[in-house]
Amino acid sequence: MSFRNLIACCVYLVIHLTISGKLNMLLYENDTRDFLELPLELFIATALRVILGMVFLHFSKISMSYVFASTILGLITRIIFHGPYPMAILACWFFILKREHRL
Amino acid sequence: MPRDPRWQRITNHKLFHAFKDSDFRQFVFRFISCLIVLTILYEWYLWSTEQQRELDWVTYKVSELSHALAVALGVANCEFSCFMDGCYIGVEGKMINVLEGCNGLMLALVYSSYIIGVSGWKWQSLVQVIVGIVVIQFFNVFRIGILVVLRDIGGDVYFFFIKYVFNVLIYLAILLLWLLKPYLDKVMHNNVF
Repeated sequence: MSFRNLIACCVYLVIHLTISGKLNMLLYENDTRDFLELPLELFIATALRVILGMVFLHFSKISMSYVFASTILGLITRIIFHGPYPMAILACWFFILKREHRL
Repeated sequence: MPRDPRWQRITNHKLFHAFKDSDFRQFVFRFISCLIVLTILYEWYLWSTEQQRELDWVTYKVSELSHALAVALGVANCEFSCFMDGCYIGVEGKMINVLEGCNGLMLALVYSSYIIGVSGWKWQSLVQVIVGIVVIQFFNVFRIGILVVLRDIGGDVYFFFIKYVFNVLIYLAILLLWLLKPYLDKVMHNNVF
């Protein structure tokens, strides 16, 4: 893996975790573990994380249709299967770059 | 439906071009099918432990081993107690709550989905899935053990580690496992044929 990709990956994860951390802090301050009790904050945090994932994929020169498909896969992983969103984004990113020998 | 011109206009839109790429489509299909199978198994596993009014075995073992690691690293008077909703590890007043969501299995499921997504349902993939899950669990034990130590020491460093360091490290460890995949494939292929 190239140094540029490694750094891009770390930056993406750190910003994603910062957004998630802020949301978790709000949950803690409101004394709840249920995201749905803070719908506006959940919406803003989700939108920011989705945009961030798209920017990360776009930065890796991945075409818009693959960015779109990866985002859908990430959202399915998170919403339906309660899995980690960045892991699904990274899986698509890894698959596409590896296939094109750009990793 | 597929012959409907409006539907065709939508699917011909450039945003959907990725789904016309058969390699990528196959990857996504296998990824999701693997997630479905593993999530059903995991949910069934959680349901069956809940029926027995017990904490699930993986969360219990991860907590127990993390406690042992924290003790080995010198945390004095480190306590360990488990209930149906999770375990508590650490020194009185500075305990860490290990819930079912902290057992690393959801991360392992997505890791496995990538492996199956790339190679399909082969025995080589299965071996790599098992090896990956073991590596992730080792890392998880290490993470919680160190967090208990950091919580005992005190200060903001604990929050920095729980929020950033371990999360980034576990994601990078999974990327490393994915990077090693072709080499592992080659090793297993050579050993069989």
